[in-house]
Amino acid sequence: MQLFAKLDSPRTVVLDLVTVLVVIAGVSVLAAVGSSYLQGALVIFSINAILVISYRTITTMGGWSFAHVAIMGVGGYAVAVLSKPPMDIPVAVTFALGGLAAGLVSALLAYPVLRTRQYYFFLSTFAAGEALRQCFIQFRQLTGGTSGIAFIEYPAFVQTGDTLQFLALVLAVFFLLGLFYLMFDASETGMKIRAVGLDETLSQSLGMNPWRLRALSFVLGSVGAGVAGGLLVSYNGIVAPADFSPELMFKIVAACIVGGTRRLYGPILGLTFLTIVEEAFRGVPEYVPFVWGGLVLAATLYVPNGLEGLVDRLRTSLVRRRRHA
Amino acid sequence: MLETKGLSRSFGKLVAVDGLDLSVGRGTIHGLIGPNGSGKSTTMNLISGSLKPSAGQVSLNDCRIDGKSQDALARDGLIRTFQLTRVFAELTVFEAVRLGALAGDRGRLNWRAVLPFPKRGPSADRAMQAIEKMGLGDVANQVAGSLPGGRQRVLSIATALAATPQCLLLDEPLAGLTATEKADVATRIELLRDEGITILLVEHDMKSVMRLCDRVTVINFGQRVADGSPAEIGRNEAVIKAYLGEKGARHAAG
Repeated sequence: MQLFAKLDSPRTVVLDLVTVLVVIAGVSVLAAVGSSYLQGALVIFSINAILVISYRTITTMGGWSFAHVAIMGVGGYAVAVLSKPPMDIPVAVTFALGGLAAGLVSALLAYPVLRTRQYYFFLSTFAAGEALRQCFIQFRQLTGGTSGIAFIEYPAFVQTGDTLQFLALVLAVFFLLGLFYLMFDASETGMKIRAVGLDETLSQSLGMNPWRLRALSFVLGSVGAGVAGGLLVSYNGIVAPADFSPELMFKIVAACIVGGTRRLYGPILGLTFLTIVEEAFRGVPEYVPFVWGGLVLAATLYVPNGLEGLVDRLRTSLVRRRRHA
Repeated sequence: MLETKGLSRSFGKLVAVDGLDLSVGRGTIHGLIGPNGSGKSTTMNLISGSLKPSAGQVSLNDCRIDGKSQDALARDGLIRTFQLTRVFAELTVFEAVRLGALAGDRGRLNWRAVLPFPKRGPSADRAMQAIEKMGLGDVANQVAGSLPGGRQRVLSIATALAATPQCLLLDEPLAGLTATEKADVATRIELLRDEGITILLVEHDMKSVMRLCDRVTVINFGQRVADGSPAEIGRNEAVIKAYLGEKGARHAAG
């Protein structure tokens, strides 16, 4: 049995690509027939999907960051500040700038934070994330404090108030970023990053520069988060520190644990599953955190590689059955 | 090729390596031996860059390399293996060795990967060659962590080999191998030397050291006790007293 996905097997990437396309198709169909409430939920889901695939890129280097949502906030605030007077930069352009800003902040953060490993990494990223959130609150002149910045617009090519058009934009970004992360993952650099995640000492002894590789995955993952943040505030029309809460961070981490992170499709499956659960419990929202916690526990105990692990098991048993037949 | 001059390292009051001079000739197999705690592993760590020396220098091809980071040294062609076997246990043998082959390469975005027919690239060929050279062809598609200890040890050498070393530092390459495996791996190490790779190895198995090495340095308490061909070392009184014992000496003599 193969424990690890073949690093460059074509079949792996096909499965990832198919998942991305199925999600896009599924979301489009649901949005076309659904209520306006559902359309809104699908926009948020698709933005979260960008968030989880960018988060997965960070986890491949072996560290689970807790600053991802705060870095997403950097992108969000960048869009808010840059698209409004006195800057007045077109919203579509600020999406890219928001991604860059998030990448820049994460590069600065990488210097202290990537010196730590395991639970120290977890703790230092958590602290860094909280520090960023405090910045959103404290630098009132720039960020509007706890009440944030309101009246942020859709990009010019999306009709104001047209959720479906905005959803199409989010899905397009999801597709492009998904494609980029897939190519990066399958590249030699992507393989080296996973090698560092598996055994840093051994990788370094072979000539890889662990520090640079870890920083690269941290920054590239953060760029995706920044773009997602920009889309979120543009869709909401308002940005506030509460949008980038630890609860959202936990949701991202939970999606990655439940879905698995070895491949790109894992976190997407995890997020889909968790979102369905969340919607199923919409009448009793107070139970949702409880159910999530239970699912994460169940995943760690019974399906250690997440839904990915289940898919793998299913495939191996299918192959075996075919061989016996 | 590889030289140390006055190499020293102390941990607090303990002097682990004390003014060691070592000279490894190009394309030779050089053995570094000594009793437990004599400073062999510290020496390996100092040369490979995972420890910084307190004093003295290390040079590769007449360029000073002490103070360089481990990965920079590896890219210069000085690659080590570890005393406790380190392999990418979750991967298949082929993938694990391939990472060694990739390590020094510059990465590019692999746009072919999202097409149905990705290219494997030259690193895959280099990995396959290293696997064949170390005799792991039959297990190339098995998960590295599921191999028996001895073969994992060989795998760690194959991984290092795929990273195209000029100079290999092998920390007890034969530990945990059966007698047949030892003979097999020793032959393969000789073949690597014949290809022009310089090899410095630490090893406890005296028979193999005497058979395999072109030159041997004996250290004790971090200092050099003797240096010479295996036969000379076998005859050296100080070495016999300190380390080898009667049996080893007789074997070396003939």
